[in-house]
Amino acid sequence: MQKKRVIKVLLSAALLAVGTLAVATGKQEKAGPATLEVWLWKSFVAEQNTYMERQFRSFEAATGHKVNVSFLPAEEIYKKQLAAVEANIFPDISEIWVQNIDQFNRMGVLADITDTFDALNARSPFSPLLGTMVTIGGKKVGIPFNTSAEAQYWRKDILDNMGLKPAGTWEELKATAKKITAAGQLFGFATALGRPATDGEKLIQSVMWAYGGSVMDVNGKPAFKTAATAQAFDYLASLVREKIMPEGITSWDDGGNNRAYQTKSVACVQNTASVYNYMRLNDQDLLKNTVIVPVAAGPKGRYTDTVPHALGVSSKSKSLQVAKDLMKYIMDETLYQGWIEQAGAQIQPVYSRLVDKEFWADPYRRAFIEAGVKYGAYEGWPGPASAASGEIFGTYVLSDTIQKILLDNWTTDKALDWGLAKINEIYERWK
Amino acid sequence: MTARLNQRTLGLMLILPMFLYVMGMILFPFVMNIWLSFTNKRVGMPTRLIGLGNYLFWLKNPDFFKVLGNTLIYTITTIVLKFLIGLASALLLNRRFWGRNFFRVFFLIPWILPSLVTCFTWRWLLDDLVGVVNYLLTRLGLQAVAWMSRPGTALGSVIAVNIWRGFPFFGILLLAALQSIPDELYDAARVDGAGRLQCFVHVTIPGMRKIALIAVLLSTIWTFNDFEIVFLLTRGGPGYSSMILVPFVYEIGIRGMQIARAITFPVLVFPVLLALIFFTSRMVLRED
Amino acid sequence: MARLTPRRLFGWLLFWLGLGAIFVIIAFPLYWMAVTSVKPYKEIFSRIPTLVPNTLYFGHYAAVIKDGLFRYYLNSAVVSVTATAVSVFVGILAAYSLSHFRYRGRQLLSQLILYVYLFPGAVLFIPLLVVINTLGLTDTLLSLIVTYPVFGMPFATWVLTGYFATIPRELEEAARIDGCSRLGALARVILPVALPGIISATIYCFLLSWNELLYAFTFISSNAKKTLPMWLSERVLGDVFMWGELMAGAILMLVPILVIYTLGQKYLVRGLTAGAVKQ
Repeated sequence: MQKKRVIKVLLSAALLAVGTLAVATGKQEKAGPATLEVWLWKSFVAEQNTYMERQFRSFEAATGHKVNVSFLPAEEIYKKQLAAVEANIFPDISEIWVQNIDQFNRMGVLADITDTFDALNARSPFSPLLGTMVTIGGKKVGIPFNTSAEAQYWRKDILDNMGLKPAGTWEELKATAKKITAAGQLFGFATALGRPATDGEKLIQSVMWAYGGSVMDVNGKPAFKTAATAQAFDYLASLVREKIMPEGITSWDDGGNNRAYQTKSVACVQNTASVYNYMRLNDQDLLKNTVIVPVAAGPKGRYTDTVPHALGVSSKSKSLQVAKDLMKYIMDETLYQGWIEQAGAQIQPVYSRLVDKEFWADPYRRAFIEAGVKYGAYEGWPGPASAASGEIFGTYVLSDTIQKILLDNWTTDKALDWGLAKINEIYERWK
Repeated sequence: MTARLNQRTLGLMLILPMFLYVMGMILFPFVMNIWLSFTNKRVGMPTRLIGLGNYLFWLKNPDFFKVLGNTLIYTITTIVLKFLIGLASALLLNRRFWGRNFFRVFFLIPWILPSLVTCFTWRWLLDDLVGVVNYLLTRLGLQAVAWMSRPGTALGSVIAVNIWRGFPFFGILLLAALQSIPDELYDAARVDGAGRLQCFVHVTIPGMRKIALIAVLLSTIWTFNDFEIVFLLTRGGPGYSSMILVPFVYEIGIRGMQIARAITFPVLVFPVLLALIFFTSRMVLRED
Repeated sequence: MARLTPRRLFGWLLFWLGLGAIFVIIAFPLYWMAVTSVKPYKEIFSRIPTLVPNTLYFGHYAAVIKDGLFRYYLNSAVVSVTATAVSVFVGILAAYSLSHFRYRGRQLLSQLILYVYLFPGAVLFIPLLVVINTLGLTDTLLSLIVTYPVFGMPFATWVLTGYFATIPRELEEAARIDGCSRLGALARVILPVALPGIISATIYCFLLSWNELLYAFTFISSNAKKTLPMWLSERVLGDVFMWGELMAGAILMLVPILVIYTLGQKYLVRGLTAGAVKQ
């Protein structure tokens, strides 16, 4: 009798010990200084990167934790993230493109950081559009980090010489550009519409949304083949067929419009602030002859793909609380605004309150903040930023569709059918 | 008996450590990839076996055949031209002339340059609006061409860049092969009454044969699996007119995250490469 | 002095034309690179390309050096030299084995090592990261030193096998008759004769590591351990192409290799076989 009792007690004690040990070494936070792995996009504006780096150093000094930050180019960071998912070493914090948020979430690598989002939102409200972008299944899996809005650059001197004005609508743009190209000195408008570029996908969406079309509907289901979309594609095709845009655009990369505008071969391009920054640093004369206006509007409004970025935390992070603290630290409104101002209008703030700051009053920067605030959209809009719309963007479906019209001489109808088939296939796969 | 055994052992000892190391590092990725081709794996998602599903998908897919066709055109054209230009260069560089040492170093530069720089430089040179090539063409009174924008010339552009980068590879290997042929063989041939052409056919070509075979084999495998040139210049565009195997696999497997389906494509093509390896090995290692 | 026959003249002309053509083909893009590296941005982005710079600007080189090029140079050098030394040393032994020995499985072994090249890097980088991570080598230069020979050794082995196999059998036999061991014959007879081949194999192996980008980016995260190709690829960020720095950086990357190769040039000469075979 005695023996049985002793055994029972010992067994219970052992179970208790094991249980305590399990809890202690399980999802518990490691006590003591943590080391965080942070992967961010490398900006070509060096000051932007160094400012953020300094933020990390002051966090280290204030808390005693260590932050290993890597600034990586866009294509590389994406490949590294995918490999890290497979090798189970996803970084504690990483900068994620909007179209990859849902994809990484489905892979189970993003932590639920609703508490952090709410805490930051309470201090300074996020733009509502960006808030919805990081919400999946009711949870916040990312913190909006920045946007890269586009605007249209016009050669003021050429417009003035010809008695023209920067276009307000796409139809006006076509008419103005046609007159400029006809004058023979340079092309009126140009944009990449090819595979090596994301600019093509962005511009096609700008025009599609402006005419009332979209890839996905408000519920995230394919709604590609509509009269509005056909109108948009016809419009773009006419720009090439009527020789308003140069023929080479079907193979331009993202640097194509920059190159075209900066070499003064084109009078108008749609681009992020990178062209502005180039002129600011290297060609003040061109800058003086440039006016930057919001993207042209269509019958259904004015839209631009702002390709927002978010910060995500690894669901398997060993220092979840420290990572959240770090995010709250760098996303502090004042420090954040300081970072935004280092970037030379390349990125726009995610906090609604910061859009009226003095920094944006500059006539060259104004159009970018307006785009971010008033006309911003993202892949998948008006639906959620889904994995499917992400893959559609990443595999150049829209650019391939317009090229069927431009190079294979397909009818718009046939090309849209082809595009819809691809979109449906991708959608089905991610359902 | 003991002597032969020792020979065998020594021979194996000389090669086995390397073999075990290479196999050790590459075995897991290699086998893993082949296994994945029978699954429906996407990056970050759980794996499920689907048998020959991926293989059937590709064999019924017109894109597969287009990309495969482009890859064959790309590979065969560039290998033939790289070999011929490389051989011609090796013969030229074998002669003694003033500036030869400088030239031999200069000659290797296209191969030394990182592909990134080569591709971006050519991108600029071939630019439709501000590229030097079009500038020179218009100065000569000819039409500017949007080289990488037309389905017809896009594949040609990437082929040209591959040849520019690759012919020094053949050139230097073949030059070293020319250098390795002992003078005695030429002397013996001349004693037998052979003229210039006969020396070339009966001494030079056999002397270079093994290296030539190896250079062709290695370059073929590498060219078949080439990535940067197409990725950086055209991304396979316009449409799929310049798309070859690896950029395509990258787009499907990495950007599209369908890693299992993407891996199946190279596996389908393995038989061709394996056959090449098999026959070259026999020709190089056989007794003369 | 030989008579200047029309045939000789024609041959001489053909020779210099051929050489000239090759020179122009190679030099044309190189010239453009060099010239771009010393133009200010405004001129780089000029509508009409200027074949001779209007303004000479060395700021790109200054910017590149200020960016800490020296540290990345060191990283790349450490990795490339080690990986190449290992690959070539092992390759020499393996090539000797394949070309001068008979044993079962010789053909198969030689073929199997080439399977390394069958899968492209674009699908290998993910499982290789798993391997490197298991070895605990993520974010270290050692990860590259361990990986690059995997791709260098098969190449070195095959190229050297080709050269070794072309060497007449009599040379090695003559040395063995003189009392050399097999390895001694390797060192004393085969290596000197195959020196041009060894130099070519070495320089190619070195370049494989020196220019390698994909695995470097996959395995390495910290700035301090970046290699040169990683640094170079960051001259292009999104839609911004820093042409000046890109070209300047590429030229600076080129120079040490050209110097080393020039020094190694004198061994790329025929005649080392002279007297190797006793009459």
